Amino acid sequence: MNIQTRRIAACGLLTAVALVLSLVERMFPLSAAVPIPGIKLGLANVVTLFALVRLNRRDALAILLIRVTLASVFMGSVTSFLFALSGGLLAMLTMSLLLPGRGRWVSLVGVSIAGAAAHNIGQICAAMLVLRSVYAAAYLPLLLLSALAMGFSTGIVSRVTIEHLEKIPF
Amino acid sequence: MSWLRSLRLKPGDFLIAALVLALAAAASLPFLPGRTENLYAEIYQDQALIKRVLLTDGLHDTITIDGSVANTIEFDGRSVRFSQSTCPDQVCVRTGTLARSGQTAVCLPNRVIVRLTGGDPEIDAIAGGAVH
Repeated sequence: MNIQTRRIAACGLLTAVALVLSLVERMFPLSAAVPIPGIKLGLANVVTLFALVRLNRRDALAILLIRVTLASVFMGSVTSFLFALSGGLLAMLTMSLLLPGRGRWVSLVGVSIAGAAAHNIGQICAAMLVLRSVYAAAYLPLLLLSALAMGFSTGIVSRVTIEHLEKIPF
Repeated sequence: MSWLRSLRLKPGDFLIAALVLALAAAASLPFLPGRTENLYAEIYQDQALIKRVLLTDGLHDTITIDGSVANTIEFDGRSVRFSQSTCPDQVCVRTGTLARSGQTAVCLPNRVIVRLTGGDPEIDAIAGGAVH
């Protein structure tokens, strides 16, 4: 099969997986149990991490942008689009900077935790811009603590997924 | 500890976790409640201060703020809360009761922020937080 065709198919498949994960995530109303706006598991980050490991930064960015846009069209608002976009981009940037050290200095778990924390920081930055107030940062400490737990969980999921799929050509 | 080894964590993972924790601690410092006598509830909408209420024992009052949704804010003694909101997510209501300086509740759909401040300048709240 043509390399280009293969790449497009892989991107489309991963975008679909990321969208489904965003939908599945909505079935676990975490923010009902913990009253922090913006708290979530971040399963879609597994796809970003996978794309960064197995494809390249350009494809990972394309998947992220399409996923965030479509997720907002399906179930979000303009505000949630801004939050998801700023969080997603900052998470991707952080993870792509850390990934070259994978195996020696960090494992996917650490990369995932850093990505989750960066996602929350990006979200809060967008919230501060929307609200024009630094007080949105009052949620940051709790969000960062949640990022530790969520990043750890999604890191384990990423590792299981990526290590298994590394055995087959993708 | 075999379960820990089975996670195959690297030194950098612990460093990242420690950094996130440190960042969380640092970010919480300015919002720690300070010890202040006069407690004010400040209500902002679209960044503008629309109401400032001195919270005293025995106070009982509610106000309604209209916008894209309607928020009902209830003052009860030295505390304040979003008692009702017509928004779908109810995040502001679930935030619960604010009773200490520095606490904040936000209604994003209505762009309303309720914040408790002490009568003292803000710098005191920050320093007071660091001393605790």
